[in-house]
Amino acid sequence: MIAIASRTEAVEAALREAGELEPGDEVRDVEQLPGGWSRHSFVAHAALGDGDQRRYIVRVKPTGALLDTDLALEYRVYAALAGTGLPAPRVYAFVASDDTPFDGPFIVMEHVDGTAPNMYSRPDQARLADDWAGPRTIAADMVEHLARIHGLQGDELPADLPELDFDAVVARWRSVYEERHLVRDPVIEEAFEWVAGRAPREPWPGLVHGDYRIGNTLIAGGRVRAILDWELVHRGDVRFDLGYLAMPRAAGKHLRAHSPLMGTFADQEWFLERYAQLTGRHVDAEVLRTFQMLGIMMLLATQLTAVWMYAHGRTTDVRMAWSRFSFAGLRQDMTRLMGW
Amino acid sequence: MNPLTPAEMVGAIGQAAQAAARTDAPLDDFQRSQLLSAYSATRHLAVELESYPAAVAAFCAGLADRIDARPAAELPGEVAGTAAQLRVTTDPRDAGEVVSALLNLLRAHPSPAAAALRGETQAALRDLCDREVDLLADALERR
Repeated sequence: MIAIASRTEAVEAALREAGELEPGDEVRDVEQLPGGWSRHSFVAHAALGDGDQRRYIVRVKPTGALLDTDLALEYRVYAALAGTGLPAPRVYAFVASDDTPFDGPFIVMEHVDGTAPNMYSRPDQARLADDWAGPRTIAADMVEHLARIHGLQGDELPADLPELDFDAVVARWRSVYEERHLVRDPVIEEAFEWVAGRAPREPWPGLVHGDYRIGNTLIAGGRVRAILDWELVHRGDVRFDLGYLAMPRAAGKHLRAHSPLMGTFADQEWFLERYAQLTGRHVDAEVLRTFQMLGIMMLLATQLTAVWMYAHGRTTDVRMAWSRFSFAGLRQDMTRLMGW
Repeated sequence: MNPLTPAEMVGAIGQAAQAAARTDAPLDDFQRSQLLSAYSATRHLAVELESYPAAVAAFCAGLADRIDARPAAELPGEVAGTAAQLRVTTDPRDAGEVVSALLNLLRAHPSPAAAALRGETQAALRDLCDREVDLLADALERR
């Protein structure tokens, strides 16, 4: 109870310092939300002096986070997005200290009404298929927002965003495999050889979201209301986001595919054609395969790290140990991409 | 070839159950998700314990046969011991180590025989990956 009380106080203090809470307002409770891997998420309920209530989301980088990404930079990215017209939650406060009741630094941000679809859930897949068969507003939002992200100019976002070209991305995920694997995996090692020899001749530089999928959006009223989880954002080859969306895993395949739609929400050919209309860029099918593999590499890096953290006592979160069961499907996807 | 042994996974599942049992307050959504993950782990693990040893043994024996069928003189010298290692390997994690080392040798060797054996190794790995997915999916999707 002491920890919970101190969490409410920490969130209230941060919001008060940011000028978001008036003197008669108070944060009543903070509750952890399911999901969240390298960031933990909480919802904070505030009672306002005028009798209204308001919710906030608290996004925490816990000690020993799954990916060592910069929460301060993520905060500044969210703040910058407010001026771009892209749907993203407003941010109110960033507490940089590691020594907080959340066991790490945290952001307090707007609670946006909406639901993040679970790409593995058959009912969620069915709802997204209905949108595709009907109004296609979610599919249209997804491609239009992605095209806008890729077209954002340098002066619209923090100047210190990481810059990672193709080789740097391969090296980044390969180094995670080298450092964090508990057992050698011949399929993964062959896949690194395969992808390293397929660097595209012409880069498509731009802003890369890095984790662009339907599960990182909030949907309400058949529209995308917010794009979340910008922790992997960087400047690089924007085809990473396209390849990532084209992975079977992004369509909810754990072991077998159950949705024929790209990312569970759109026909792949339609999506890429619409993307080409919006950006003037047609992605080559072979290059897309390369970036699909790069997307799998990123997922593998997170899953390897999750298992490594559990094995080394850095976390007691059983989902991290469970990650070892995600390798079977990803390994199969890699063998197919390599044409074995 | 998955990290963490089945025994380590049993320990992880037990820890999640113990943490839930020791909670005085009603479980919140996060704690419930922990128990659901533990339950999911038991279902995967049951398939692994029942079905993987035979699949891994067949993979290792088949690959050992393919290595032995190739003229040793056309392959890197170190490959000679790989077939024997595979014939006594029952742990998928050990198989991963042996096959990773084999592929390293074959990638670095310029002979057509090495390239051919690398292709055969990849095909055997593909079949093993498909088998692993089928075993899990057939069992988990049977409601």
